[in-house]
Amino acid sequence: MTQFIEQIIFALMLSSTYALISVGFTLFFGAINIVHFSHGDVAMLGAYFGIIIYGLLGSAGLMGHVPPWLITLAIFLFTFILVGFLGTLFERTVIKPFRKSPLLMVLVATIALGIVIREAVRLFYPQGSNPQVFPKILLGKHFEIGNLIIRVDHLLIFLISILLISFMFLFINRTKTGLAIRAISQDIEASNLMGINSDIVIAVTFLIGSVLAGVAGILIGCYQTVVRFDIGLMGGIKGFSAAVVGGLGNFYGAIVGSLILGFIESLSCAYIPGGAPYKDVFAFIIVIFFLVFKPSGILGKTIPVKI
Amino acid sequence: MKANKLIGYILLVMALLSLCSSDFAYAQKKLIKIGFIGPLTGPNAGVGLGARNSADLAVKQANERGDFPYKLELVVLDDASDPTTGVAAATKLCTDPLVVAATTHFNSPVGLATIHVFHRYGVPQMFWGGIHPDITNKYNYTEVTRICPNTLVEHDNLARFVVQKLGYKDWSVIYDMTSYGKSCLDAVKRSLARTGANVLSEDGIAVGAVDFRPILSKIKAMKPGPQVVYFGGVVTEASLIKIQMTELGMKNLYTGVTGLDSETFNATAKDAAEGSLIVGKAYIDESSPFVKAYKAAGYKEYYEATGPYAYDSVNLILEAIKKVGPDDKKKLAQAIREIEYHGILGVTKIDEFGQTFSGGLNVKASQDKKWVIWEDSEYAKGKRTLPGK
Repeated sequence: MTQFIEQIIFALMLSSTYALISVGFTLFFGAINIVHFSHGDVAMLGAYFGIIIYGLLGSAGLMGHVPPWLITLAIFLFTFILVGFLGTLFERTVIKPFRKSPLLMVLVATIALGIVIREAVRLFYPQGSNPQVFPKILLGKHFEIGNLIIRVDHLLIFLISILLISFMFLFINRTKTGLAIRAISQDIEASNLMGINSDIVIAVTFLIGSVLAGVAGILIGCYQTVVRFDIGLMGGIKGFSAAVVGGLGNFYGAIVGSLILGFIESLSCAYIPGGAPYKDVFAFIIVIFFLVFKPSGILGKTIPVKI
Repeated sequence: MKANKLIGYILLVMALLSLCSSDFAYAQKKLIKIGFIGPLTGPNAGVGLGARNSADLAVKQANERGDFPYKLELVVLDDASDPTTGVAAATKLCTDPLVVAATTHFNSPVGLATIHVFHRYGVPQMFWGGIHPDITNKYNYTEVTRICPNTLVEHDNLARFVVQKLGYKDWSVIYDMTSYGKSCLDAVKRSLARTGANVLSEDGIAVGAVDFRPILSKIKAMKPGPQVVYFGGVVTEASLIKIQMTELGMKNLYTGVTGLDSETFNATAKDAAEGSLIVGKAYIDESSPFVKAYKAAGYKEYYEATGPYAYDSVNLILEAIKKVGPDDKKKLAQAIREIEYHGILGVTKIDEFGQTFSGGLNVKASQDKKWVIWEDSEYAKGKRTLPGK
């Protein structure tokens, strides 16, 4: 029983990190109909900024003098700013020029951008090819219920994910900017005519999506304890797959898709004999299954195209 | 006439001078060549250059000591970690009539290709690197020997120590799905079966994976549970597994072989590393004569973990040459297999497959975020106790 509960917890942890990335994909696809394939690499940048800022705060002599929660807060805050800035910059330089081009162009451009980000980290970060140890910035305590060990940092990772996703949900559905994003996703020209500055709204969308990815990066770092320059590649593909399984463009779909992927991976490791090396295979078989039999995903709606 | 006489005198004086110079002593000795092949370019150039420098040092020292009956020359060739390049280099060495023996290769695939060349030409070949068991065990050519331990030797040492000496009987095995990880799996199962221990579970993992909690949770829930969790793979995955074991509150002894022998393990796992036990690589003291001589010789590159093996292999070959001479290579190959050589790796003795028994291996325990030789650790002295019992 303990083992089963443990496996459920692992699956939830994995799902919540996927969800933060996959919500970003859904946001971009929903708002301006693009697939931003370097989104996972933006998350990786978040993790690396976390390490760098932790190092800088350490060399500034703040460790031990300032309460640890303040350090954690500072790391999150600076990462927000840096990743948010870079995410918006990427939109301006790589995605915006293709706004009126076919979808394929953006796809290729963002894949290329992802390679540039990865290789830049690999080349310019000291010993960039090697895995980097992520600092312990969340509370490392744990409590035991019988044989089950529940760690506070894991609980925090889960809570932060839920909090951020709910915050985003409210932002999209309850604020004026959110309304503008939804309007643009319906019809960009009509919303321009209604007085919405689409450039600014799209920039805001990328800011929010990138900040979420940055947080995902930090949380992945906290959970896995090491990060490598190429985690964004798999993270991005998984996040995108989750969004596809759930229904690309649908907010709940992204969450459902992440849960499905997370659970398949964790449980196939635990309960299929010799299944551990093939966990990604099982996960992607499900993705292919959905692409073939229900391309609109679980919660996505089939939109008839009027000719 | 006068000028001619003068030139005659000068020539005479020069001839006398050259007789007095130290070169003359060599000139009397017959020249023989020792071959060296290793990766001097490409991804493994670091270890290759370290080994080359060490082999070069051994040859230089023998020439300088002056008591070696032949003048020595080291022929250095590059295999670039590539079997085709390796075979070309091996052929070039073997067709040189002055080459009497060679010390070779870091990469097992290269070695598996060149052993046939050395066998065909009958030139003794000793491996300073390359750990695949098949290099020695599959064909068992008389010419082919290996001074570095292979995975079988490493795991025999591990099982002897952990099962027979410390008394841990029940093991869970995790391995990565590379050919190295799989050879570790085969070797650990063989060694554990020999020592009468039980393998309770086997789990493969993909290299590059970071989340092993589902597997570990399964192992933790097993009844009866293992005393030992063994990992056959390399350092990054190894440290993550140990971190996650600690997170899950698992109190098993954690073991592995040389793949884990890097301080990166301790730096990554930090406190979680404490009490891990491995069979690690040879330990060369910084103040040993080899290191001093290496530094004094002014080589640019570090000697790496492979250097001591290359150094000892050349010296072992030289000792065999001293015994039986360089002319009969069959005799020489036999002599290399029969020698009991005392070098910087300790005692090297070759078994019936051409493989060393010990290879300078050391049991190490992780203590205060460092690998400490077992005999020096507080675990051996009884001040701390290993987990899992």
